[in-house]
Amino acid sequence: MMEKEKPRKGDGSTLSMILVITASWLLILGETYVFFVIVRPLGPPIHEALLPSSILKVALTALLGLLWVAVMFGIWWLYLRAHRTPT
Amino acid sequence: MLPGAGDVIPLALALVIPAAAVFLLMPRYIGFLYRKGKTTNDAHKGGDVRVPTPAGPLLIFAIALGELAVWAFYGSVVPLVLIVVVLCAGLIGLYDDLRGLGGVVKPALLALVGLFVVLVEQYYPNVYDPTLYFPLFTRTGTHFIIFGLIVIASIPVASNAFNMLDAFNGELAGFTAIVTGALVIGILMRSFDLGDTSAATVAIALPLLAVSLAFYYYNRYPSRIFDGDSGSLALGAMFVILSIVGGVEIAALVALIPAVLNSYYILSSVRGLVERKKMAARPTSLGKDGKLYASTEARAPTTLARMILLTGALDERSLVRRILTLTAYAAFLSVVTSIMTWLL
Repeated sequence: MMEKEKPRKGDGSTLSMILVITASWLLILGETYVFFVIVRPLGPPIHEALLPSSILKVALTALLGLLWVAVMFGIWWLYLRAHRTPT
Repeated sequence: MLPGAGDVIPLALALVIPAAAVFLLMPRYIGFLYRKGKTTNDAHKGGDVRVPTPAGPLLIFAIALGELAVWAFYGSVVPLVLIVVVLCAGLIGLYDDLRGLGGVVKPALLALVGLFVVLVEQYYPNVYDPTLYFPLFTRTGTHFIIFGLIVIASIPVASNAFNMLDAFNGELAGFTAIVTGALVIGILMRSFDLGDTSAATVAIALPLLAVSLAFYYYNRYPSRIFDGDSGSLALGAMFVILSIVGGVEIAALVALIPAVLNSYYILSSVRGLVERKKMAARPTSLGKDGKLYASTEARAPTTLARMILLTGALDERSLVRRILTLTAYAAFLSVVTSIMTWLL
């Protein structure tokens, strides 16, 4: 019977990082959908008319950026917590 | 439109001239740096292993040669803009190599390089298209001011992301070659779909690909030369301007995810813009077995390498191979993004 092959060192972290990159990419795609389908039709561009809806568009766009940052921060925190690294 | 038969010679020259310049001049340049005593300790080898640095000036020279060849064939102003961008970013890096620049001064100076590109666009409106094209859905309107701000901000962000990734033998050269490959594919797809970019746009991207591949030969483990900040900032600035003039910004962003995450996690862990040389602790340490270990110090920055090493020590070559595997995966996602943007 063949001996069970041991996983190589670092393979686990490579897979974890691939998942982090995939999550980051999917988040970019998801936020693109939210931007074009929900945020963009809310009102005219802010340089054409300074309406509350235009300001809301800018605020929601900034919020999407912050969401990406927050999710990436969350993933980082979970990754380090899983490996019990002091920060 | 896609490159035709008449573009074969300029495209070939855009690849061959910069690569030949690196291969022909690098051995002499390495000897020159040794004679001048311009060497630094390779921190990830045991003992005092001296490696010449910086290769940046030669890389910039090789890229400029390639861009001049493209300019001679197509007469576009874009290769000349790229030469100025690479030269300015390289000079900022060279000053940082020799004298050192603060964590805030360096990005501010790099932002001025972005401002130069925006100003050129005012006089030559075909340098870039101030519109962002997103995968699957649609594109934004034409926004000169917002897009100009993105151009100005993107150079310091991307250049510093390249700089922060430049820690191990062959890491940055391999990274640049892989992500530039994805960028060239994206530009080709845009040419196929819109027809507003030409063979010249593809040609201006090739010198970066050629130089990074040729430099990888000298920079891979064990490194015979380091690029220094002059090299990393110049390569980063060139990459970001290529993505802008090529109109493939989102695909470029996806390819850069490993570098963006690396920078983001460093900045989050050290809480601010801190110059690498002034960081309180190193993210990795060299063990007596010659392997690299993740630092256990709380004040050490969290880099991509440190995160990979958390599951076990690796030798430098294996660690760089892991990082380049992640880069190749991000480049694959970038190509998928380009397909979703231009072909679906």
